[in-house]
Amino acid sequence: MRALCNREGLLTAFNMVSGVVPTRSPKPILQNVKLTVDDEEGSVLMGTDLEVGIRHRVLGVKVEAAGSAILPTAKIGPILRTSGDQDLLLETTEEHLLVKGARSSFKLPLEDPSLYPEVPDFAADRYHVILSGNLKKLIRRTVFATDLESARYALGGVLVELRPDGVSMIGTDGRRLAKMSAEAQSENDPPAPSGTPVIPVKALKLIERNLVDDDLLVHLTIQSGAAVLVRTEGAVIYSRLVEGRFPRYQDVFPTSVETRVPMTVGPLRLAVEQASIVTSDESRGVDFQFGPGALVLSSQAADVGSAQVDLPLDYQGKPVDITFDPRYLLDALKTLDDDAEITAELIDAKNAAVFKTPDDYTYVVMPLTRER
Amino acid sequence: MGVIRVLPPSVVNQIAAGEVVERPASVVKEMMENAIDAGARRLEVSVERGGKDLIRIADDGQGIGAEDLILAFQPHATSKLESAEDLHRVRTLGFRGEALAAIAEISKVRCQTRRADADEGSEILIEGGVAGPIKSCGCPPGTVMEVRNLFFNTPVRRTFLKSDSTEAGHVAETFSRIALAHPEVHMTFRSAGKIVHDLPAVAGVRERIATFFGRELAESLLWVEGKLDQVGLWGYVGHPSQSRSSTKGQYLFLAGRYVRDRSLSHALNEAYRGLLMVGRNPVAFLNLEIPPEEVDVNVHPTKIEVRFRDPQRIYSHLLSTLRQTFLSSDLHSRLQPVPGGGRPVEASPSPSPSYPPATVWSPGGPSVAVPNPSRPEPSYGLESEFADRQAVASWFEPSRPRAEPPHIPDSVGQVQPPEWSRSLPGKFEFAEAGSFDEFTRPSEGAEPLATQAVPPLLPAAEPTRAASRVAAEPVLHSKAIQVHDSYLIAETSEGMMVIDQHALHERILYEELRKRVAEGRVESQGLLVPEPVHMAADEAATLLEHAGLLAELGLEVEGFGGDTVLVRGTPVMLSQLQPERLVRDLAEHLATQPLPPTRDGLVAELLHMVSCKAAVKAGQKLNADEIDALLARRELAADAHHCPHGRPTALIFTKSELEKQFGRI
Repeated sequence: MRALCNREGLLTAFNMVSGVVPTRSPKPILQNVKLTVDDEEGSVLMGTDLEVGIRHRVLGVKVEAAGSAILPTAKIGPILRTSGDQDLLLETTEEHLLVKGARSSFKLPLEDPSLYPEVPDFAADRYHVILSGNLKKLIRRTVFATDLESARYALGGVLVELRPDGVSMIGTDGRRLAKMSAEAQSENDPPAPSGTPVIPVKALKLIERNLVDDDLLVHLTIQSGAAVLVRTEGAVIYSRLVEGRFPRYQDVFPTSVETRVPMTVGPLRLAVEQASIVTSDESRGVDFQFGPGALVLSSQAADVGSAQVDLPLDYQGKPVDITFDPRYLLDALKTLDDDAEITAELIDAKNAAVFKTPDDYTYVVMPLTRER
Repeated sequence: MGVIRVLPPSVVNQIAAGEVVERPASVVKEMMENAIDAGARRLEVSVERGGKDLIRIADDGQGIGAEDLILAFQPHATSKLESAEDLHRVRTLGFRGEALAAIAEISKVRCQTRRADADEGSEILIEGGVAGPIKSCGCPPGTVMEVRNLFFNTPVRRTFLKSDSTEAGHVAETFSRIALAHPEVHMTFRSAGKIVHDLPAVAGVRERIATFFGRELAESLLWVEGKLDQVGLWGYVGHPSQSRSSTKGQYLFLAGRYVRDRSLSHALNEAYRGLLMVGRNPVAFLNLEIPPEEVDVNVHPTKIEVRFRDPQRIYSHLLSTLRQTFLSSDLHSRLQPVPGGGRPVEASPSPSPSYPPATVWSPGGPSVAVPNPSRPEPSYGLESEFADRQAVASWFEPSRPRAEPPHIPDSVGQVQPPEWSRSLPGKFEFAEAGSFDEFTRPSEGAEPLATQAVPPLLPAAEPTRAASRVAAEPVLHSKAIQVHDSYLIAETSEGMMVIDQHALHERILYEELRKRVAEGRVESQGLLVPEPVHMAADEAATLLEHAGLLAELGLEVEGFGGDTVLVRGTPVMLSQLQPERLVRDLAEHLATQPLPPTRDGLVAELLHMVSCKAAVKAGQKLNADEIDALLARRELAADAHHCPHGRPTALIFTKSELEKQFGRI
């Protein structure tokens, strides 16, 4: 292999790919990334930890001899970042990998590219097409609600539901649940995936980072119930699905609603943030008193103090008192636009509260109960 | 022909003997109790071959008249009871009238006895229940019982006896139980011709404890006293540094009778919760005074088990009395002297120059307020301040696991009223101590050494000195250093203290959390999806039994049929624990507890889990500010001397101990 690579282009790809690469692995070759240069198919940089894999396009490669090379992550990264050259020549010899700039050159150990595990490419022809911005929203508004520790359920990821005209994602840790739906088109009538496909958090964060331009289209497919593949403009991301059961989240939504309280995200978020200042790890509750014309948030923690925050509301229904862990609310509110509307659907202090936005976001939180 | 027949009296007696007389020690117990019931002031016990060959009990009690002598050995004949109503107000140790008859049935008994007003004594010999004639004899007032060849006519029983030394051990244990219950009686115990114990009559039981269990234990005892309605409790409990692997070190006396009671034993362990390592049992010598009608001792012929009319009240009384004592006590672990190093300095007969013995180690204990004229003390000219001093004493006394000054001879012949402990009305009423603010803080264990330095009886000339010591405390910790990133060494006015940072921090957090729980601000985070947890069926049942209690602590569980429990909500303060693990741990804990745990016990268990996770770990470097903050907060924790698991948080090396180690004194 011999190719003259644009440093910027290679660094962009490298930054995306190296995030997947494990720093320590029983399979040492995984600590590297693999570069394949080919004029016809384009040049690709890939990395994987066998759970999650990414193939990222490398721009600005002048191929002199097509082929592949294994690049040691720990060395290539610093070289790319510190070099001032516009182009770097990468060349494999019999024994070494050579990286040459205008005034610097590096000789690195060579490994056999065929030993690097195959990173799956997006091969499906039946898939969903979704707007990049929408996928980003789907991920950002659900991924925080997951629970990586749960031994019982597959809560370490986000459940994906594919419909012919849309995609939903659901994340929960058993105490709160976030569900986001967005429009999508299906290409060639993809089959409904069997079981409950749950995408691990790590993969979702990687996907989100690759969604640079909100207006572009992204392809998404669930491969034989075991893996998810996402194709963006510059990359293909592959991830195994989380094994295990996802709870029947539909049961979580209360079947009845007593009151609906319309609010605006920005002021609500500020009020909750203020009220949560005087909570502690052991005493987290913030009391929400929804009354005519105002929401009063009050909190008190043993040796921290107490706080009261009033939020004027356009609400004339019956008063409802309920206590929340404010962090649960803030997690969700932070992902929403400040001027967006949000409606709280409440029953009483014991039942789950539901927050909804007009753009199909639903957030269910179990209240805190407290001996009084 | 009928097959049911009435048994002849001798068979009845042998059957009774099977219940009452299990081994020689049983004979010793019955005979010693008889002697004490007879008002003996001296009691001599001798056994040969562990009591198999001979048991001889001699007392100087009231004796038996010649006309009663034959009757005394009849079954169900007694002088201690007249009617069935008397059964409910028994004040004597025996009352069933069975023992002598039973013993006489299975051995050869010779009884010599003389009433003090009789001219001569009388003697009777009974072999296997067959009485010989009553003869007159010469003997001192009192009774001498000789039981020879126990079980000679029941060979089966005899084969069940263990070796001589084992049986002698049982006799010794019986002897010590009775000796501990009746310190006012001079008792002697001989085994195989050698004197094992010669115990002069003493006022307090501490001397006897020292004899039986060693001086180290006796010196570490804490005085306990409390009275609730008509239930009186007094005695000694061991410092937490003294513990046993079994409950054998626990002596509970009810009206002078050694008894065993599981629930009171549990109360004792409960009181030591957090002070002892798991699996260790406290040492205690406690007397319980209950109106006879409140307790039924007629449960078992040997009367080792009793029934209380209101066991719950006695349980909680015992528990609260002990807790009060611990709260006001210095429970720090002391450096154990190196082998051969002798006793800790404070017990040393030669006072170090810096501690005038009269002020620092003023003799006392419970006898302080009943000063013994033979012990001149500087406090004698201060009668006008007696009340004050008494109150001061009441506050400080229990906090000092203090030695009797060894230079004062054993109080032979100085028989003080056996009721000494109650001659000090209200002496340990903890409520009144609150008025002594100046001393309250140090005695909470905050600065125990200073507490010890303040003499319990403060002579009038001393207050300024004491006050300056108290005022000097806050700066005492200023020189703390950290070693191995795990231990803190702080200088105190009396020496130095080595503190386990993790254990101390854990304790502090535990106390803070407990306070918060006590304030009732326990939050529960509901689960969207109730989490089913599988466990053993008995654990599930136990857990659900306590569902109400758990809900108070923020853990909402409900049954899901069979061995599955549904968790609906978890405590916020434990949110870092997986609900499943939390519930399993708790269920296991509940199922293995011998008695239904109290709310406090459960709270403690939960809080242990939290505080242990949150506390700084050993190996964590602390900067000077953190060390100061940790030591400053040490004073806030009620039991700062032990971590919640019962490990000590601090070791104390007194200056004099150091000096002794370096051979300076």
